[in-house]
Amino acid sequence: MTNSIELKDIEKYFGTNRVIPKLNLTIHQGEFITLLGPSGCGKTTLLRMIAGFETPTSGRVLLENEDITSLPPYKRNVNTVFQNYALFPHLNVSENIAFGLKQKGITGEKLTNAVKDVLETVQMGSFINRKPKELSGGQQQRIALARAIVNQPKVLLLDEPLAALDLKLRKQMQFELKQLHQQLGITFVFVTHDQEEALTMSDRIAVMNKGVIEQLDAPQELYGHPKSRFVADFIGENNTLSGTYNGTHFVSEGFSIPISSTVPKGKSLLFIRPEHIYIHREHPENKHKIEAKVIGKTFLGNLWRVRCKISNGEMVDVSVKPDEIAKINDTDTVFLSWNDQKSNLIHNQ
Amino acid sequence: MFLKLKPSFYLLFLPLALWMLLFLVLPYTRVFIQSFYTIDDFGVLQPALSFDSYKRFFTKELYYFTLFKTFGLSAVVTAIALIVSIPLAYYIAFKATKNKTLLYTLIILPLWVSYIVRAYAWKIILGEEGILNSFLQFIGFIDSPISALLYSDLAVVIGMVHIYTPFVLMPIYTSFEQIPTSLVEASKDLGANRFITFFKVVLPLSLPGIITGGTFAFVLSLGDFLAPNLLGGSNTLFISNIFQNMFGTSNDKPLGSAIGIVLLVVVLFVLDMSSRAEKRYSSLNSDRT
Repeated sequence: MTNSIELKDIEKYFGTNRVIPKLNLTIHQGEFITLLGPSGCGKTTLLRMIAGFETPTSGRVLLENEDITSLPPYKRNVNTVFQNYALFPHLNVSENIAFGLKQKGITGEKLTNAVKDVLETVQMGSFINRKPKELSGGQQQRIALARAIVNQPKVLLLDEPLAALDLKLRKQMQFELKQLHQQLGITFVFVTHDQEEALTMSDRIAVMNKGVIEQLDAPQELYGHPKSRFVADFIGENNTLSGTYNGTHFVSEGFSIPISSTVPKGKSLLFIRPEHIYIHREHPENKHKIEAKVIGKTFLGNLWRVRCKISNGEMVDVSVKPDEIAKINDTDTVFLSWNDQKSNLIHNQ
Repeated sequence: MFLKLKPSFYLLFLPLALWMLLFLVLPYTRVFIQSFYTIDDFGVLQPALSFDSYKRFFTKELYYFTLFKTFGLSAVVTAIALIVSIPLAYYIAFKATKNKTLLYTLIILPLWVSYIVRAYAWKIILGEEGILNSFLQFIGFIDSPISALLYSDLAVVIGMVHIYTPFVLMPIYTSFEQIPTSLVEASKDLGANRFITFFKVVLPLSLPGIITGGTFAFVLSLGDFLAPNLLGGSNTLFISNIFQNMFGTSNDKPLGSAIGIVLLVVVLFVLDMSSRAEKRYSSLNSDRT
C-alpha cells in the first residue's frame, strides 16, 4: 500500500501554546481515515496543515512522497469540505462548482460537462442555477462536496461536514459519503467529534487527545481493544475497574479475577463494556465474576441500563434485555460475569 | 407592523420630530417655495410662481458648467478615495493582526479634528511658502516655489480625498470584516491565489460596502463648499460656492434656491441608485436572514 499523506514529527505552537507535540501519522492511499477527538484536541489543526491553512512549527507534510510543507493551499492537490460548507454566496451552484476547474484553465464544453457529471454524482442535477441561499443545509452540503471532488484531488479533507445537519439527514449523508468514497477511490481524511460517525464510516480511526494520537486502529479493534483510558471512555460506553495485576490475577478490594495477559505487573485498569456483562441472581460457574449491589435502572428503549456497585466502591453499568429486567430490583445482590475475551486489561502508570 | 406602545413612549419621539421639522422640513420647504420667487431691481424678494431661476441656471454656462465640473471633480475624489481605501481596508481587515485597532483608530483620528482645521492644514502644506515648497527647495528639486500647488483643482482634490477617505474606508472595512474567513480559505483551497481570491471572492462580496463608501465620498464632495473655497480660491468653483454666493454678495435668493433644489434632486437620485445597487449586490447579508 502506498502512502497518501505522511505527517513527520509535526509540532505546532500557537504563540507559546503547544497544541501538537511531535506527531507522526501515515495515511494510506485510498483509505477513509477519521481524526476523532473532543474539541481542542488538535484534529482540525492537523487537517488544516494538510490543506495548507496552517504551517507546522516544525516537521514535514508529505503528499505522495512529495514534501508540501511550505506549499500554499492553492498549489496543493487536496480539497476541503468545510464545516459550514463555505459556498460562495454571490455565485450560483454551477459557478461554485466550476470555480476550482477554472483555476486549472478548464473551459467550455469540458467545464460544463464536468459540472453536470459531478452534480449527477451528488444527485443535485436540477439545482444547477440556484444560489446557495436557496438550498437547504443538506443540499448545500452536497454542493460543497461536489465543488471539492470535481477537482479530482489526491486527498479529500472533510472538516466536521455533517455537524450542522439533523440526525436523520446526517445518517443519510454518512451512508452516501461512504458510498462516494468507494466510488471515487480517493483518500478521505474526515474530522469529527462524533464517535458513532467515526465508527460507522472509517477504515481507520485516529483517536486524538491534547494533540496526541492515543490510538490508531480499525473501528472494531478500537472498540474491542482500547489501549488507554481515554480511548475506552471516548469510544462507546465502558466500565473501568481499577486494581492491580499480579501476573495471574486482576485484584481489587473484595475480588480477584484470573487473567492471563502480557501487561506488566502493577497498577492496572480493566475495561468491560455494559453489553458484555451478564447479570445473575445466583452464583454463576464463570471465573470472571464479581458480586454487586443494584443501585438503579434506566430505560433506554431497546435495552435497560442497570447500575451496580461493586465491592471496591466502583460503579458498573450493565445492559439488560427488557424481558429480563423484571427479575432485577433495587438493592438486590447480584453477580456480574463476562467472557474473558471481552474484557480488556491495560497497565495504569 | 404596529407595536402596542404606551402613549408616553411616543413622547420620546417628540424632540426628534421637532428637530426634523424645524431644521429639515421647514428650511427645505422654504427653499423650494423661494426658488419660484423673483427679485425686483432692488434685490427684494417678490412672491411669484416663476421658473425664471431654473431657466437661468440651465442656460447660463457658468452655472451648468460648474455643476458638471462639480460632478467631475467629485467623481475624481471618489475614485482616488476608493483606490486608497480598498487596499488599506484590506490590509487592516485581513493582514494586520496585532495593530488592527491602532491602525483603524489612526484612520478615523482625522475625523476628530475640525474639518476647517484639516482644510487649512493643506493650505499650509501646499502654499507658496508652505511646507512642500520649502522642502522641495531645500532638497534642490526646484529653484523657486511652485505657485500652482495651492488654489487649483489639484489642491481641492487632495484636500477632499484626505477629508473624505475615512468615510469611504469605514464601510469598506466593515464589509471586509463580515466576509467569513472560510470563504477566503475555500477560494485558496480551490486553487485561486490571493489576487484571484481578491477579485473573485473578496471584492464581489464587499461590493455593498464599496458602494456605500463611494456614495459617501461622492455626495459629500458634491455639496462641499469649504474645501473649494479654502484650497481652490477663485479658480476652482464648486456648485455650492455659487449657491453660497447667491445668498451672500450676489443676493439672488431665488437662483440660489433653485441651485439648491437641483443639487438636492441630483443627490437624491444618486442615493437611490446607490441603495438599489447595494441591495442587488448584497449576497452576504441576505444570506444570513
